[in-house]
Amino acid sequence: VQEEQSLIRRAQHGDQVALTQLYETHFDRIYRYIAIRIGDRTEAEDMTQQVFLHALKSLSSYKEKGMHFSSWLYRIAHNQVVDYFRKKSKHATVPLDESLPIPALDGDPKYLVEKKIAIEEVVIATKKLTAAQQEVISLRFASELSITEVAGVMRKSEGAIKALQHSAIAALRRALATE
Amino acid sequence: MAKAKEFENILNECLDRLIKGETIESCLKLYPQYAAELEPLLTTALEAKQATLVKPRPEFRQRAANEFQAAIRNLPVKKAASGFRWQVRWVAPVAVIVALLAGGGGTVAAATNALPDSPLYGVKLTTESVQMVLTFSDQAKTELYARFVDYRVEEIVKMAEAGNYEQVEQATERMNVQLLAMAATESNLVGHGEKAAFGLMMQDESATGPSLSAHRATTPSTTPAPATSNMPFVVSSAPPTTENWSVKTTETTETSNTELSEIEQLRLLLTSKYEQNLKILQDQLEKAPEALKPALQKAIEVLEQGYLQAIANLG
Repeated sequence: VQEEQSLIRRAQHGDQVALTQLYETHFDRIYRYIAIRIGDRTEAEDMTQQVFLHALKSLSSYKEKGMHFSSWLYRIAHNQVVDYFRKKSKHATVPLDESLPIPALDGDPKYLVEKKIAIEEVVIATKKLTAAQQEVISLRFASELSITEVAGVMRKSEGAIKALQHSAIAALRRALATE
Repeated sequence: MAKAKEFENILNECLDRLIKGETIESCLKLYPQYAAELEPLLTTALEAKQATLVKPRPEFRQRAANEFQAAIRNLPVKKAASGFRWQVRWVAPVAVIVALLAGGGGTVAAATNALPDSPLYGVKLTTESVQMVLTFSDQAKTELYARFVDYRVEEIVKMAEAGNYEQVEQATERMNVQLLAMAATESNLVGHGEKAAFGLMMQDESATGPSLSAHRATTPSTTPAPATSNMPFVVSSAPPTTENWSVKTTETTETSNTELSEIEQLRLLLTSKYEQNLKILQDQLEKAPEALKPALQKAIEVLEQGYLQAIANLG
């Protein structure tokens, strides 16, 4: 924690290496969060870039005592996602973009096909959840944030996030069963 | 109500364990009384975790990194912080400088060869930061970053020999950061027009697939001296083979053949260091146990991408 705080302080003073290190630490996970939330690779790429450029501009406003740095950063990403859906006005009916990159998989071709189908089923089923349930699934499993960090992003108590997480997984299980 | 909360806490603990790579079975063993309820939820959670492991495309990653570095360079210069904060922030670097000036730099000198699992490793990193702060020209900074990359490669090899996967990954991460910073610094040495051309070339390259592997396949192998922490900045007498590189390797022949421009010297230095370090990591990959190969392959990938960008940035 101390190491991250020191890194953030250096970044706030414009230290190029510290800024790059923070960027590298969070880049893949921010991209995953956005890609899973919106299901569109091209948009996810643009929005990921915007998140980091926005964070760079407003980094001086970040206060360590306010919230975790990752929560602050994902809050920016969350706002981008909200804006995206507001502009599209299609939150519940966003089609799965077939170009969404599938995880790198190893193994024999038959296994790969089965795995790809299983992954697509999960992604489609996730779209049937509420926005808050999708959010908690993305933050917890795509970005691997802790409950504390997720609570910071979603501005809810840790207890509320734990309950939401439970209901999200149960709803996802039901959605998978009906497919 | 209390029971529901208790279950949510247990579920959350098991999810934390799953995210860290533990198995469902190991968690069910911890809470056998909840196993029937936990098992289906954890199975679904694992499926969700696997489905969300999407990765950014390499060409997007490269483009985004370039834009981010450009944005960093355009940041307004910060004013100095207040006295007390300044003092706290500079305690460690100043201590290193004082130690060096006082001739009592034994610890600092000893730390030069410290490995990531050594207690002195933090001193080594601080010393590097101080060296960078005290280096002013972009060319000198670029050379210093290249030397730090040599150190990281050496650490990767040593940690791989010790079977320390985690430290190999961490040294790779530090190397990546320093390669990106190096590319950003030395791009200041060339004009904006050339940088724009570089950007276009990188896009063209990404559209036709990675060319570094082709480079590796077609470039005659060299037999470089091993990179050591004390490797001097000597450009190899044998000019590196770059004719197959997709990056711009223009003939800057306006300069006399015997008197290379600073940019050209830097290009030769980086090319030489790239080839030396690539060979070192490839040799290590060949003899490494299977478990360590993914980490070493990642290190090679990072080295290739970083140096390719750095060399291309020189125009």
